[in-house]
Amino acid sequence: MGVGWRFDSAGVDEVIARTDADARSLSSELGTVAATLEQVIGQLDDVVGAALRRFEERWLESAEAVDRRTVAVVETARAVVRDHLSTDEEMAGSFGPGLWGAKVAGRPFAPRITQRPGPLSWD
Amino acid sequence: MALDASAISDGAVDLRRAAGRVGDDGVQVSNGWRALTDVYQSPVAPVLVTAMEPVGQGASEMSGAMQTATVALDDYARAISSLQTRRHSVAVDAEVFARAATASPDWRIEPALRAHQSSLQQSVATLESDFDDARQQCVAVLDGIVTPAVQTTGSFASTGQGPEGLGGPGDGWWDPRHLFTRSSLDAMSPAEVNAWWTSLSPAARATYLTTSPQMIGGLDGIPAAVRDAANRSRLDRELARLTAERDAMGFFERNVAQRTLSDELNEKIDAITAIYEALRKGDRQLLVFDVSGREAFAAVGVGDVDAALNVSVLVGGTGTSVESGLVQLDQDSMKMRERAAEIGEVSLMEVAVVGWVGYRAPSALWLAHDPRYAVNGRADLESFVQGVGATSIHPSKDLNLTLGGHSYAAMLVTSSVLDATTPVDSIATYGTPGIASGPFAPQVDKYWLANSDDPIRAAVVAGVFTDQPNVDDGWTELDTSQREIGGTTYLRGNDHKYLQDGSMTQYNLAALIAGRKDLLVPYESGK
Repeated sequence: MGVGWRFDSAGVDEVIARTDADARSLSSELGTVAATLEQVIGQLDDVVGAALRRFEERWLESAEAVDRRTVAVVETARAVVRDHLSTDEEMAGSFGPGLWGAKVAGRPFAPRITQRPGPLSWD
Repeated sequence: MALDASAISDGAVDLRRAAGRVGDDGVQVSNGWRALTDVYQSPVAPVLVTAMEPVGQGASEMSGAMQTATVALDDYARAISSLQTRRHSVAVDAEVFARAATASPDWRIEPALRAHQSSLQQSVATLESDFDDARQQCVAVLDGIVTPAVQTTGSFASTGQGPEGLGGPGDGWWDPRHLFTRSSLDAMSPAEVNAWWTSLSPAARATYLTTSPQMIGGLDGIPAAVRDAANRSRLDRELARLTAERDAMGFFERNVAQRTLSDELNEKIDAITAIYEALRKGDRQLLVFDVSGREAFAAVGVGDVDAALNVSVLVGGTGTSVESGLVQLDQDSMKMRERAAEIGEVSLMEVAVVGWVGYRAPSALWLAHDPRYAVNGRADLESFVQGVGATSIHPSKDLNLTLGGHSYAAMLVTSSVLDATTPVDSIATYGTPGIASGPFAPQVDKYWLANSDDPIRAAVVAGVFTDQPNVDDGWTELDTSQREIGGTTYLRGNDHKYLQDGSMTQYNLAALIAGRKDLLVPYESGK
């Protein structure tokens, strides 16, 4: 027995879309901070300005990492969705009418078919 | 350059607001992503969902880092504003002086005007010096701020990855424990950490305490009271998190598929319960609290470690863990403290005893041959005692720091005093299956105790354990037999137990901890 399968394609798309929007908002705010930092550095003397510049470099490094990670996770989720869908179509084509059962063909994302006829569902 | 204090202050406000939105948006990304569990379940789903967690955590820490920067900028702006007001006064005063000097061609020989001139020069010098101080303080805070290290690479949910590859180190798993491992603070010595912390303004310290309690509570060199507050602030949250994680596991996962993880979660939950039990007794400091690894680590001090003149760190040996051994070690530490104060004829405030469970001890005696447990724990214990030395309010020459190691911990405590810079004054090992190879730091006095009926003593005589303390290497064996001292009868130490209240072993260790080496009773051969 392994971990159960469930895949609601529309639901996953919605989560991805919403996260995309949240990530854009985060990215925009990161940009706002960077711009504000530039303005503040311009108000400072050389010594404190240089220290804030050093902090800014470290902070922007973290910002870039957060941004890149968000994109990487979302892109991976999209790849997972694609994999599921292709497996779905491939397997749907391989089963004749009236055939059903747990056929996991050694693929990590292969679905467990639980009912036929009718649309495939993921258990 | 003319500095505009209000513009700097306004900039700090803008930064604070924008940083707050960064934190909120980051949390929103992570929280929103968790909804994936409702629509997608597969062997890789937990990894995919968890992979977004560091985004929220990282953004939150970035927000905290920026808040600290804005506190520093605010402090700086206030200092500038104050200095500018003072400079204005000095300028007015200078005008008065200039008018008086113009009216009196011989002002250089008039005592009142010369005194005025001298006062003006002094005011200007003080202004410049105060400006430098404000600047340096701001720079110190800004340079000390740690920003989170968020990893961006890894094949955490590659479509070719099977369930067996989930979550293992080296599989691309992003682990929040890795945050800060590249930070500048991690690379600092406890003394440097202490210098950094003391350079921060109270507001900056408060910000760190609020935004990064895990980091502050785990940093050797941070004052004991601050570590205590930081670590305590995390207990409830960690207990809730671990309990929720355990309860989210189904019957099959809990008992079969993820049995090891389930056991670890239960052990950590028990560990936090044990910590609560120790802290409930009062007058305690939670100096180490770490449940980020596979095992829980903790150190509980009885008394105020920074204020006490006599500090001891007691380390448990084979089979010691937070969940199973901390409560007893804490009880022994409390009794040891009371005995040390009594024997040393000092107030309780002058003694603090720490029960330290900060390393993975071997689970059984037959593993006590293996030095790897000590090798792995050495750096942490070394750093911890260095931290005690760095944060003590007493000069190092006055602080009496004793390290005690029971059973396998003898290997650990001896290996942690190899470095000559250790602040430890004395070590005592008891029930010793083996010690590290010297040479040890020359300033450290070395003692050992072995009960006559301790199975370890028999094993040593039988040649099972070979690396032993001995007189020829400068060690002193202390007595464990029953004795009457000052009208009190101290019972013979028995079996593999050395911290029992009212025992001779406790007496000797307490005298050492109290800094009363003149009261130690050495072992007499043949007695």
